[in-house]
Amino acid sequence: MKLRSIPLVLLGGTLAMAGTAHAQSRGSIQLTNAATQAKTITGKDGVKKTVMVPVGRVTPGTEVTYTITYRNIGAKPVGNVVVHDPVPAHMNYVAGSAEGANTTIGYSVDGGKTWAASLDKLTVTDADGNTRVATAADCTNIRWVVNGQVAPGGKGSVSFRAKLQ
Amino acid sequence: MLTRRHHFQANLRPLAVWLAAACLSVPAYATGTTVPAGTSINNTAAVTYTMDGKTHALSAHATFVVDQLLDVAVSWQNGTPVEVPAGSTQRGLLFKVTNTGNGSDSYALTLHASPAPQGGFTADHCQLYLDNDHDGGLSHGDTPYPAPADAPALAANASMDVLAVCHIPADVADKSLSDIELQVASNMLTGQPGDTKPVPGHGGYIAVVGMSGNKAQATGTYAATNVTYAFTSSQLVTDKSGGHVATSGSRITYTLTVTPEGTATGRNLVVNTPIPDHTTYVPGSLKLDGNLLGDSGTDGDAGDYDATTHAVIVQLGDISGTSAARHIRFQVTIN
Repeated sequence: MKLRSIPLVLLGGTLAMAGTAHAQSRGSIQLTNAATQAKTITGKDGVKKTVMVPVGRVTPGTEVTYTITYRNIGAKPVGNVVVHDPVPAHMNYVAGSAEGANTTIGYSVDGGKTWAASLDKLTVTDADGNTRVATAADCTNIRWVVNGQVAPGGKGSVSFRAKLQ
Repeated sequence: MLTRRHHFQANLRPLAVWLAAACLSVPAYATGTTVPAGTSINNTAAVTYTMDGKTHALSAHATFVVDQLLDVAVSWQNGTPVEVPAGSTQRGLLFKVTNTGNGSDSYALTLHASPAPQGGFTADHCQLYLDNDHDGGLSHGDTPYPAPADAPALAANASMDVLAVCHIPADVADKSLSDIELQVASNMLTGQPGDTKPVPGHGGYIAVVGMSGNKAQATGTYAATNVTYAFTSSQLVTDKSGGHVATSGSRITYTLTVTPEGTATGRNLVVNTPIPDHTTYVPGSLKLDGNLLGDSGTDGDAGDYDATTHAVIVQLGDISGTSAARHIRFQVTIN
């Protein structure tokens, strides 16, 4: 995921839609958030392949990949790094799509009040009062707890996919 | 690239607001309705970390706007062929047109009638109506479906009931079938899936043709009902000596049998049979299905003998094609 996300960050103008932000020198972490989608292109050799491009044309049913990259731009190591991302409104989390090297991933179905290592360890109660095991569509929040410290210059990225309702 | 100053409090506040809202909106994730065109989808990722014993937080946003998906579906609602009497324009075929996209669109509708593949007839003078009262049939409140320029806008996920009302020719065979195809095409854009065009009045997103090509068709079927009547007549001569010689004074018993065939119902069927020349009607001899009928035209029963026209007249009324045969019997004497 890292290799894929770095060129996207360099796409400048197009990324105005997939906004980014980073910390000031007083802080130490720079954070970017890129929304991309798959696009099928035909190469010069006539072979079709799928590449990830910044979100452009998005209609119901489209899958969007969110890639959040953190980077320690300070001079000191930082610890207890937790990346947290609510699944956007009008989108459903795609089962099994959350990734993040060197992180412990947690899921929530109640807006971040309770967390579990997988969705099937959580339950939801429907309008009729029946309780059932949570599914991907119930996921409201995802978090990545970064293992250990992030050294100066250190970086990592986490990602998940969500489908537009 | 955007550069923003992020403060601890300022960054946590939007998160807290979202958490409160999430508790109310959780069921929406499970039900999953199609997101409307033009909706802004916002994602806010946040990071917290500690440095020198202090906690810091900041967030980063990703936002895009949902494009308009153009899709349409149509289905025939009656399910089984709609029976309609030959020679009538009484009943319509009900279709449901649904905007399966996520934005408003309007549609041009056209009808094409053809004989059903298994053999049939072609209904004609087909017209389209909006079934405004949703009763599935043509009624006073229903209005003709307008020309494309005036076609009603259909919101995302909305549907409209449309009636195809055709004339059934009078000479079609009972139980013969006519197919009516309703073709639906978007007024906004039709084409290959993935074709795009700007949405008038909306700079922020475009319209994209979906898998339907933004056109659709469905076929409904009329089943004609018709009725025919077979008339047979028999006669039995009885002479005065008990033989069967047709001579002056012999009596002839006529039996007329009316046999209906078909599934329609004929209205006000009247049998009018002049008696033969050189014969005289035997008063009080008229029977319908074995029951005696009076000869008078004013006695209120179904049968008369008209002395002016020398005819036996029986009012059979409305006769269904599936009803039993009727038997008319009367007698005359040879002059």
